[in-house]
Amino acid sequence: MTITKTADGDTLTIAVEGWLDTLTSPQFHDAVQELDGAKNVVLDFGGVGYISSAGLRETVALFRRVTANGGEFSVRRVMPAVMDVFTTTGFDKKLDIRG
Amino acid sequence: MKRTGTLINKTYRNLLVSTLAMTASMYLSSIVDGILVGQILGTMELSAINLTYSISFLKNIPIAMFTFGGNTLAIMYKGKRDNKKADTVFSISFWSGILSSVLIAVIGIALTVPTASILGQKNAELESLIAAYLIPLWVLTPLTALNNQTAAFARTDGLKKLATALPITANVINLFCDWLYMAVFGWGIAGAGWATVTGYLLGSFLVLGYFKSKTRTVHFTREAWKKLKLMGKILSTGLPSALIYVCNFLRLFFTNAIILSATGTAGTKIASVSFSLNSLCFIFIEGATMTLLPVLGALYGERDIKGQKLALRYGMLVTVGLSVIILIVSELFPLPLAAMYGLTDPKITAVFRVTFRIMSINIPILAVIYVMRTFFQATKQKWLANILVVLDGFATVVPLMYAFSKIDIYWLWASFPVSKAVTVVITVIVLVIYKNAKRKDNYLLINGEDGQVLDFSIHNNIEEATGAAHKTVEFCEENGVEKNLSHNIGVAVEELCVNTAKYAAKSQSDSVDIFVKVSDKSIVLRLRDNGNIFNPTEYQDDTGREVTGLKLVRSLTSSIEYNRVIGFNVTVVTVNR
Repeated sequence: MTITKTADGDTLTIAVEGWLDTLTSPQFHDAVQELDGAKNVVLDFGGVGYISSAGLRETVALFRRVTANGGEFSVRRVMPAVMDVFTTTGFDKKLDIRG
Repeated sequence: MKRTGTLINKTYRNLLVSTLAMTASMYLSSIVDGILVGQILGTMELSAINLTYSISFLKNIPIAMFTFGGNTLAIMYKGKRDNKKADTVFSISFWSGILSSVLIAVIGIALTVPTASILGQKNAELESLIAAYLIPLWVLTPLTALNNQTAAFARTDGLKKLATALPITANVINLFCDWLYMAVFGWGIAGAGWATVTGYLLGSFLVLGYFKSKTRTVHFTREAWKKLKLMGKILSTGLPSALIYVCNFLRLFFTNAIILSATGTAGTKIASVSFSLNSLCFIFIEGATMTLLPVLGALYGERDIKGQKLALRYGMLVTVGLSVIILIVSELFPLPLAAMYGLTDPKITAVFRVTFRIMSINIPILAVIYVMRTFFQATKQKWLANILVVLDGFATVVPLMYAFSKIDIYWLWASFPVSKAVTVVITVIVLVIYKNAKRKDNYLLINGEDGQVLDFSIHNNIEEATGAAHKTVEFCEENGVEKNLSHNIGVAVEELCVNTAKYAAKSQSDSVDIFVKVSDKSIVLRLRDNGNIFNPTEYQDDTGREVTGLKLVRSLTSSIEYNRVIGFNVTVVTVNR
């Protein structure tokens, strides 16, 4: 899994590429601990073809952390199969998430 | 990642010891009684015991029918996740086994005098000895039914210690009482029989351990009495096992007659020792194949074709391996084996040394026949199983022995290996003809899967769980499954394997078998492991987490079913298209 961070003012875009599963989610967890002082976070899921509960938990945890600090959190370029997981679990209603 | 037999082989090995203990109990009581009687009482009493061997087979017919019929059928229903029917089969077969054994015991006791007269062949001394031994032998029948049926279900429920302890306890007490009743109390030949009864009676207290066990998976149900039509299925499933005893009874009856008329009393002495030693080989061959029966039954119930082939291969390997060991011992040490029974007359042992070696060649062929018979029995190809039993047990050996007895005593004993070889040849011809006539996929006459199948095994750890998910998604997409459904099946594989690794795995070397079938209407995923009981349909996550693997699987799939069968956790997930 490849994680690329791009800062633009108050907003940090985190582009993820690969599978977000039980094995890779600890890597994601470590990568998003430091938000480089950004208030808002955009997760670019354009390269994520698969997400399991471990990946979903990390995404939701990041969302809670960012919004708790008054920031905005969004997930963009979500592939249909991954979007299905967010929709089925009802997180599409809690998160700002788009395909 | 390939489908391996690791999981099935491990379960087979786990079941093997307790099954061997059970088959040993079925044969050893009469063998040990015979040896001890020969040592303590004398040769006349030993002859009387030998003449009752056919009755031992006769009384085991209903027991084998209900024990193996009921046990195999119950496991098949559990394999199909029909626990109600499994309970019904358990209730019917258990009580029918007890009642029929009581009935046959009552009839047997009532007919003691005429039975002793037939077996004793008008020898008054022999007749009275046989009659004295027959009464405890018949009394033993219901106790054997109780112990063997309980041991069979305990074994397939994973209660291996209990299943092993039951027959061992009974036989250890039997041995002690043999000495006590015959040597100390002076009860004579009847003492040998009552010693066996005492052993089984005290051993049957262990039965309570099974019925008190919280982990047993079959239970008595009153509904059973409304569904007695299942009796037919139980009997037809158990028939090949029971047929072995029928054929053994008939074979012993006829071969004894041929041997006596062709070779006289010296030949009869050779026969009694040879048959008794042959019973020792049955302990291993029958034990190894009876272990295979529930394993194959469960795999057949799950329609796991690859698993059936893997189990057959491993079962064949173990059974033939054991039989070769017995063959080597028989070929190397015929005289010490004969001496165990007190057969030391040089004139007789000179002949026995040759005849026993000739006869023993049949052992590995017998192993092949037994494994194939078990396979056909478990895969519901009963007609083939029955053909094998009748050919092997009776139809080939008796005519061949009669014909060969006209030549000399060595040819007479060659009828055993020759008849086994003839049985194998006839069976192969039948299989080839049937395969071609019915256009079956293989010579085992089992059909392949309808649909695209992915069948592989992983180690029971988190690292390999995600690899399995990758492989599954790839396979589904290659076979035209919609991307989102492929993803969901992949998630199900990962989550369930991760849960198994976390909560059920006993060791890192354990395996998980994964099976995915893509058909037009659905994608079916089946996971099997041999870890601790872990039911994903009932598991309540108490970690307080908002997102859990099992919740996700439940929401992404159409159905999840779980079953615990012969120590396997089997989870089946379906995603409708």
